Amino acid sequence: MILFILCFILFVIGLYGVIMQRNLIKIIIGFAIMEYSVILFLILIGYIDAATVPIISESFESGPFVDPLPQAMILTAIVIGLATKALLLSVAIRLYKKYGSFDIREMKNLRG
Amino acid sequence: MELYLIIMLALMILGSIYSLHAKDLLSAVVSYGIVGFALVISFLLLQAPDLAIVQVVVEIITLIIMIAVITNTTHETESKKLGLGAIFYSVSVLLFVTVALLFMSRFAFVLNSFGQHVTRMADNYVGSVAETGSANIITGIIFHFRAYDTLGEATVLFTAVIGVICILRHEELKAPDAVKIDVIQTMPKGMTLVVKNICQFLAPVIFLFGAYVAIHGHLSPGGGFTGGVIMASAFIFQILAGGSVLDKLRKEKWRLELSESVAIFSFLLLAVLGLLIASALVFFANFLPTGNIGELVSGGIIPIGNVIIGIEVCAAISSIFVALLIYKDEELG
Repeated sequence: MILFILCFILFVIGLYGVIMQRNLIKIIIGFAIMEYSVILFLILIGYIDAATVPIISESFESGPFVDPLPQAMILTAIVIGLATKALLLSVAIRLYKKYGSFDIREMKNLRG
Repeated sequence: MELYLIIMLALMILGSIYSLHAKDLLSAVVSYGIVGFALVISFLLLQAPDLAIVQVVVEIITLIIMIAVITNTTHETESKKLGLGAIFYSVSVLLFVTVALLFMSRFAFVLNSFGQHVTRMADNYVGSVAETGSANIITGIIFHFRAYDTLGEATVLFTAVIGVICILRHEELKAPDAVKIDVIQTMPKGMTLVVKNICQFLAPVIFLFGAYVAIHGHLSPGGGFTGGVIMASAFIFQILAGGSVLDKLRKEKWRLELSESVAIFSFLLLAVLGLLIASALVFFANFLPTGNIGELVSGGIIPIGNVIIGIEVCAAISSIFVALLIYKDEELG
């Protein structure tokens, strides 16, 4: 239970970073921290005591497996996360070229 | 076991707090790396080697991309002026965040305690391994039971890459009488001779390892996503060490975009072939014989799907990096 609460604390730190920080790169870091905490939370839920990796093998006995479903879903989500982070960073780099700063307080010009 | 995980989570929390409050952006990005690498160790402790392999490579590529973005920019963050409005804002944000944490903590009491999870859906998947013929149950789920999801994820990846390429394109170059801002550069700069030579030995080996992980995805930890990320890291390694010429990068980007599009199209084709050939009219039906579990040639269409997804992920991540590099080069030139 304490693990779940620590995971929520990590999520909330990311949320705090997204709302509170004024630097675009730090906002993106906040997003990434939120993503990691959600990923870790789902894997923590799927863990079973004394269970093994969900791979069938003859060399060692295959006992009860940990839940393979969250692992399968998260595997794709990690790679997607990299692409979406790159998308956010490319928006940030474009804004830097336009305004000369990563500070969102400088970005007041609404015309495209 | 639980103690180790608590230590790892504490490390992640400390790293994230430091990275959000660091004065210099470079140290913020580096300490953000702590969070990702602690996550890798947590995955290993939680019996998820597939995720650990993919996360360690993804984390490195993320750090490289982030550092590439913040080089030649202002690293220092501006110091905040403490006005009355700023204090009011901080207090209300802290209040909101605390309330959110309290609401979320309710779930920790409702859920089964750590390690006492009861599988329901996964019981069917583990029970019907013979149907997929894949020794790695995770790969079996990705390419058989939830193949439709995987198609969606591949499409999201494709869309994100298209978005990156569109955002980073220089509009000025499209104008008819625009002056080309190409730097006249024939020899790539790169790093020193020692790094270049060692990299020429290592990059093919890394690429081969990525291909191995992708092809053996149905037998051992790994699969198309993991192998693709490792292969992309070999590309990035080569470009970083050997340096690059803008013209060659443009050609390389075109090739990568082409191979990504062809890969996602052939994944769709594989799905439609299953619909046409197999007697059961199912999208992604496994129309090849599944063979014996644990052999290289087994699992029907699963190894083919792994290879296709590997090519797609490799091309996607490499083209993100190449697009970023071209943008940076053109900006300097």
